[in-house]
Amino acid sequence: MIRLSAIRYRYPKTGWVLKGLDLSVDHGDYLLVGGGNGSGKSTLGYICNGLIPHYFDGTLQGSVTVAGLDTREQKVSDLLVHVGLVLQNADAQLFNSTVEDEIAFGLESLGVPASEIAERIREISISLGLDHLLNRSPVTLSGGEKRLVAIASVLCLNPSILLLDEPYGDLDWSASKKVRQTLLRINQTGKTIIVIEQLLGNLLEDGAGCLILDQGNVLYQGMPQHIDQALTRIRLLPQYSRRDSKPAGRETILSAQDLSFRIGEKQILTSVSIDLRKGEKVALIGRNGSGKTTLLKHFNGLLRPSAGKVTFLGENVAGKSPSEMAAHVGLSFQNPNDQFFKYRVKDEILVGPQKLGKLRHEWIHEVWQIFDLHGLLKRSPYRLSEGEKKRVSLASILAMNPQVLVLDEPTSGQDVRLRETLATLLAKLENLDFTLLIATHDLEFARAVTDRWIVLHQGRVVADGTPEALWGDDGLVHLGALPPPRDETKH
Amino acid sequence: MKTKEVARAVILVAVAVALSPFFIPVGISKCFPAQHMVNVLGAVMLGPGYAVAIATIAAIIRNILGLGTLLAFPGGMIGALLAGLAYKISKNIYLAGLGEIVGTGLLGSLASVWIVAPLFMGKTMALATLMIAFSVSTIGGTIIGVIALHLLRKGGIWEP
Amino acid sequence: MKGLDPRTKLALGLMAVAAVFVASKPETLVVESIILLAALPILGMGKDWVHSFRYFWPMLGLVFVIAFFSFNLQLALLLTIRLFNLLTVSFVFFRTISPEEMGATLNKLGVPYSFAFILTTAMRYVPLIKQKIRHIIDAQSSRGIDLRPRLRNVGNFMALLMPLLVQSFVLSDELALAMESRGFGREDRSSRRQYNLTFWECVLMVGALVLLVIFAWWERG
Ligand SMILES: Nc1ncnc2c1ncn2[C@@H]1O[C@H](COP(=O)(O)OP(=O)(O)OP(=O)(O)O)[C@@H](O)[C@H]1O
Ligand SMILES: Nc1ncnc2c1ncn2[C@@H]1O[C@H](COP(=O)(O)OP(=O)(O)OP(=O)(O)O)[C@@H](O)[C@H]1O
Ligand SMILES: [Mg+2]
Ligand SMILES: [Mg+2]
Repeated sequence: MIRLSAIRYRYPKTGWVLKGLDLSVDHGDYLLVGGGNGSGKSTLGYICNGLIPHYFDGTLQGSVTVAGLDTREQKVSDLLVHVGLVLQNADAQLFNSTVEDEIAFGLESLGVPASEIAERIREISISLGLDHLLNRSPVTLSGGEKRLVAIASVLCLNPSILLLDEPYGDLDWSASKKVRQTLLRINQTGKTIIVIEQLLGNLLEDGAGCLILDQGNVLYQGMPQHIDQALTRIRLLPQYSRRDSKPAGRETILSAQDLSFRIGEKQILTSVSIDLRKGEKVALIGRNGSGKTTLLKHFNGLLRPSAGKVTFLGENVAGKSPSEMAAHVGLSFQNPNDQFFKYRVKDEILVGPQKLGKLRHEWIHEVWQIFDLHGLLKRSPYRLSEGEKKRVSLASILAMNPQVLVLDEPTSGQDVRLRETLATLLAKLENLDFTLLIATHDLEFARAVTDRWIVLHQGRVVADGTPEALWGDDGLVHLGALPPPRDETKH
Repeated sequence: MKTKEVARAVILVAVAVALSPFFIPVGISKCFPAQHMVNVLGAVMLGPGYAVAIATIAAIIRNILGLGTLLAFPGGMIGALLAGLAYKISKNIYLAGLGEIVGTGLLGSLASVWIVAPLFMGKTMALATLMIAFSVSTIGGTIIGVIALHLLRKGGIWEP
Repeated sequence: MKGLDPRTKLALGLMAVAAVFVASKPETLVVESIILLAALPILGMGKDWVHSFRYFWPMLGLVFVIAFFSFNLQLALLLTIRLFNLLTVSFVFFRTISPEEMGATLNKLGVPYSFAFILTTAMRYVPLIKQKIRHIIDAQSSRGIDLRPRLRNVGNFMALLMPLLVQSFVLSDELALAMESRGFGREDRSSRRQYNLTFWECVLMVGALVLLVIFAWWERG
């Protein structure tokens, strides 16, 4: 079906991004493609569906045939009936106003008559369980639903190969499970599936073949079962070093008391009470949409509770603006790109302290030291790699020297190596006496960097305790607030 | 490449509409910079044809969403056209900005006046006042658009 | 209104705008205002209209003041009512037509498919961009950068604009990939939506046109 031989590729202004790749995927295969940030996974996807060489300029060497056709001699729009590519970013993949229009778009491109389009939409939406969503706009869908619609939007063209770029990114365990089962089912109908993912660890059992890339080189190619022997070289899952937990202080620094929040009629948080003591490392765990981000925004006054209150060192936060609170509670959001607006990293980090009028040069230098930023200071923040961006954005918050550091989904979009780096960084902060609060659904990471978990489910706190006590707790698993424990011997 | 340009136009329209309620208070009047800024960006990045299409579509959508009035049409389209032509001929960002200011501030308000009062066009004083009212937003938006282009170039996001 | 072919809607809407446009006699203007104001609640648009009025009144006020000082009260009132009618009728028009219908109609009338595509697709991305704007404002306020609309915050505006533009351009590049991979560039597109002009709709349009011409002749004659 797909035959790649001796593939080398580079974008117009980069070095070689793929450096000699042979790949052969047959009818009905299930291939997993792994590798870290920037290893060339997405690029491989573009080669398979003809975006390279037709859409991207750059240099492609070697030969690519898909379904017996040389991609150089086909147009992208002629290959789409053979290879369906689902892009990494669901917001770009779904560009129509309704789910129904989304599925119809590809069919309209091919000139399929209206009556047949209606029939195909019906078929595909029933088989993926989307029929109740047809009139919804993509903005209103959950992450998992978006993925399924994205799959439907290319599956409706009946391609023999379905290629998915990071379909599990940002999905929690329950949404991932649904997408995984759907893909296995599609594979059983005889279609070839290729899944690209940074963290293959949990997915290995799905695939029949496995390809791992590292900076454009092939690190491993073969059966997923045999990867264990190669595991010393390949880091499929992050390995965090154990940390000695320090006893937390007595003093309560930040607390939410009986906090409720609603938007219109929708109750988002219900009677949440939390006490953070000075120096404590705490994780806020919960599924997509459980209200983690919403709760965090109350801690620095970005949102005001509908009932209850938030106090910082015993003082009600209600009277303070977020910019005033910034000096005490540093909140760093998921997406570093939301904050960059200077064209040098250095200026970017200095913005916060300057605004607050608490610029202390010794401290700034220490922050640069901790985050190892000296080499980046003169670069443009927009042009950094994902991991570097994350480091800069964390540094820009820490530069304001807040007492409490609040991080929303710090591991999102980060590969194995970056997650490990992040854990190490947070461990370095240990000695500096920060209180740390992290919202995440990455339980391994949470276990590595925190001593206390608060589990949020449908806007309520359903558990509060040590990771050891809560991990795999039957009640919480049953409730759906935590995933069932994995077979740990496997990795 | 056409697909790329159409996609960029889509997002610029969305930005113009989503930012349209944002204003900067200037004395008693308010400066709504979004449309003018997008006109400059569209004109410089995509050329006059796309710039006019972006302004027109943004006006349609603002009307549909109830975020603007009929006057959004002449207010945006003429400026976008002039800015696009100015940049196409000169390859100079400042001239594109000037095109936007002349197009929207002068010709656009003239067209608006004509819509309101096609029969009474004689009085120049009235016209001048209207023009100034339009110009707070136009000049503000144009300056912001030009600065944004500079920063995008320095940050390595856009190259002329 | 719902059952009509969008071409009919577009034609009738444009003729209604034209009708308001040609009116110039004071009596006609007032009668039009009354009809429009009565029609709003009947069409169920009263509330939205009140909401949109905040975009109307600055312009109305300006026109009134200028005309009052440069002409006289009577003329100022006349012009203001005219503008009022024009804005209201166009408001009603835009409320009755969806972007999809508008796009499909323009496409049928020979406007390139890209134009219709930009129209409908941009509509989908407006809420997404709004969400991005909210995220950026949250992220920047958490760093002490105040983005509320104050004159003294003008210097901070770039802190909103730059992250927004940079992310928008990245999004637009990815959108282009998605479009290309789904056959955007193909020539032989079909359309899922089928619209048919009925005989009665044609009669309706011709009838409306005749009325419009008579009205214009009577107004100006
Ligand atoms: N359009 C482009 N122009 C120039 N360089 C690019 C482009 N897209 C990707 N690259 C570069 O090519 C390399 C491989 O990128 P690619 O997107 O294929 O990696 P990836 O494995 O998919 O990473 P991620 O896990 O972050 O998605 C990276 O160094 C990246 O910076
Ligand atoms: N502005 C808003 N308007 C309406 N609903 C909202 C808004 N913000 C959040 N919600 C809803 O509140 C709930 C909690 O959202 P929140 O973003 O806090 O969840 P989360 O736990 O951070 O999820 P994720 O893991 O996806 O980041 C969701 O159901 C969401 O749809
Ligand atoms: Mg990728
Ligand atoms: Mg969240």
